Amino acid sequence: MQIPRSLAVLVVSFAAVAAWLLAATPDMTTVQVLRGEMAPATPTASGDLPTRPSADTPWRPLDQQRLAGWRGPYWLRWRAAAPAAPDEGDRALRVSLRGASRLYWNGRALAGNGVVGRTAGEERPGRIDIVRALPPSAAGATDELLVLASSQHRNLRLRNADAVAIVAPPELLYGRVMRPWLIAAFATGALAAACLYFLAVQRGRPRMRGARLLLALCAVGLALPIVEAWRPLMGYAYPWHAPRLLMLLALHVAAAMLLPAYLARHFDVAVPVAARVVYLATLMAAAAFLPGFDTRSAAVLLLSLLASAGVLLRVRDAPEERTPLLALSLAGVLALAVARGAFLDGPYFLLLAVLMGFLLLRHAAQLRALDRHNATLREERAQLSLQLLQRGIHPHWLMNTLTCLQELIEQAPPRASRLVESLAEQFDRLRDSSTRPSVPLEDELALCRNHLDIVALASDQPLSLEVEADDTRLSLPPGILHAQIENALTHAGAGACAQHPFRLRVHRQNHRWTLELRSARGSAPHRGRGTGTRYIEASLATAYPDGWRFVQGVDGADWCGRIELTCAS
Amino acid sequence: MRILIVEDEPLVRQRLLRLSAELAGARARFDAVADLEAAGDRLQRSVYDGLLLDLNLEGEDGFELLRRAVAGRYHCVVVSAHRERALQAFEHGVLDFVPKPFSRERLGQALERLLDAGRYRSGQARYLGIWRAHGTALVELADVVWIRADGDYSQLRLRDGRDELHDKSLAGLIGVLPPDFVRCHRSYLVNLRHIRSLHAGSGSRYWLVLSDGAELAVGRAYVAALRRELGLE
Repeated sequence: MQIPRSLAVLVVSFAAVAAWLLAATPDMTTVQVLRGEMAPATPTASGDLPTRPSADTPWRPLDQQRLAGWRGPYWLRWRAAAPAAPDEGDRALRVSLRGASRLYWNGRALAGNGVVGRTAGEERPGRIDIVRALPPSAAGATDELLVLASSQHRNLRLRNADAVAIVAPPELLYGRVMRPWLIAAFATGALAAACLYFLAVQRGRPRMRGARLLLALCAVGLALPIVEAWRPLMGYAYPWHAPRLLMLLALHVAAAMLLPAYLARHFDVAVPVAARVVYLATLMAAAAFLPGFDTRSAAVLLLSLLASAGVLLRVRDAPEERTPLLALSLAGVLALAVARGAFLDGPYFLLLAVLMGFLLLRHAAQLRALDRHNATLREERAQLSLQLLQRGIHPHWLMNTLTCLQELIEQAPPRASRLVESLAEQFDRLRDSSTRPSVPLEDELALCRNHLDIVALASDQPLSLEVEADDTRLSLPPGILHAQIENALTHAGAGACAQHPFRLRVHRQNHRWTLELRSARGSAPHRGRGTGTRYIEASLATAYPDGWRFVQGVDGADWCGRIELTCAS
Repeated sequence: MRILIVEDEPLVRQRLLRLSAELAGARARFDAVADLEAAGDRLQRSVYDGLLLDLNLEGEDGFELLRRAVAGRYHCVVVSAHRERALQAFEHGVLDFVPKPFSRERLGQALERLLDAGRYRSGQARYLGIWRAHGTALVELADVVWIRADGDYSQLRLRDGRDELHDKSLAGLIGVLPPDFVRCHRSYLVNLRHIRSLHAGSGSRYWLVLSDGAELAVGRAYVAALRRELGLE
């Protein structure tokens, strides 16, 4: 079953990534990337900003790393061969520049972007990406874009200026930029729906293991595309660029911490503290010291996917969950290694969305399964309560006791009165116990002693229960010691039990409890396979689904019932 | 008449002894034991005519005990808290079933039946227990064709031609057998279900032809009653 599921998640994520890449890759035959040069701008003699570069301007090829340090004012010049025919069609210009700018296309001023200034006070920051419609060019000439720019509001030194100018058909620059983000929006919507569904299913229930981490991962997964899409869809003034990159890196780091942590918690994989510290240190070092935000993000994501795969490889069970997640993680690692840059933005988010969606739906399915299990447990508990009551007023025992009472009324009225009181107390305790899933050990012992009182009065033989306990802070399903005592009295007889007192030893070691009840051996051949045993086993299975053991049998001169429980209390 | 009480609860045992002695007076003597092993000893050492038996003795299956009890020559009255199994007890051939807690009157009725078993004719037994070397076997009464007095015992003829010997006398069995079994002779009870026809011969002699083709003589004193049972009048 896990192979089709793994294939399904891989196919969904590959399909989403392929659709993204298809929509995001422009038709390069229609796109013209301009060659750039740069030079500092010298103020005029009056101190104003120049309107044209002087003849002796020291142009040099555009160096993105050097430009990243310039604050300005400075000149940028991009050139390209003009189209062969003037009627080739409408063209538009897109300039990405972290600065305010004035633009001149073949000597004609275009609409500016912010206000260029010699100081931060003079400058009004421009938007990071601008698109301008271009006037027709002269046939066969060279197109020239001249930009006077300043970047006085750079609040963080970035490694690369990423200044680019491209000429392309207007529909490409205005419209097609939206298309890949429609896919991302669809994935975001699906992830949000899965998240809401999970929250709805989770509501009113005890939290499942790792639910908080999963929800935090969800929040990161939803924030990522919003921050990513901020630039292409909404745009912003260039001083926001560095904070946006920091936000993205922080989100990547958060996802890198949360994903392996969630997987380890969810699958109950013990990760040594040293390994956690090393992982976090490596993550922080990659985020802080690697050159460039893209490199940092890629390294962080690669680390997180490798760590997740490492955790998943240590999972021994739950293959139906583990295998699809492992396949996705390894696919992500492969994609990051092969196409780092192409995978960083939308595709990584799409992979994360598929992974998160799968996790949320699996988690919700587990909650539903838990619901069904709880409903079964409630039903079992109701049946056990009924059984407890039925056992307490078992006709055979009750009728025998009432017959004894009849005789006592005629023979020894004071004893008869005590027997009535003990019977009333027994029924009261049983009624109380049957409404509760568990009772303190002390209450269970009181019920047992009460039962022994009744039998002792009816049989005129002393019956006692000796308890040796190093800890009595234990809760038990009601009636399980009572059932053992009742069995011993039925099978061994009150006479044998009077000569051989009941002995209970309660021992606790860490979270493991042992309750050993010894009684008279008796001679009945079928002992240990009746309704009492079934009741005890059903009660323990309901209360401690995976942490109980009940064995009973002959041990020397005793009949010994041994209950072992694993519980947190 | 000697009656043995088998009851493990001391107070109930005391009550049975006390009330039985009062109710039966000089007509019967009572002994009481707490378990079946002691009961076995008593039954071997003395001749008892009746048994007042508790079905659940220290965890042993009551019906295992019952089979052994009803296979004996004495009649058995069950005194038990297992009311829901009364019908089953009757099917195993008990004379009466007294549910606990019991009143003096109800115990009196059961004792009357026990003291005069032959007079009562409303048995509901479906099986008879037969002593065997390795235990007790059950014979379904529907498979019994006729029962013949054999001294203090009874011989049972089964449909498949086998014979079984029961410890109870013919008179003793009458008290527990269902109405299907009627006397056709001083020494015979016949199962009405297995009668094919009734024939009259010379000299007012009658005989029955049974389902297996065998013939069974009918005593003159029993002809009229047998004709009534067969719906011939």
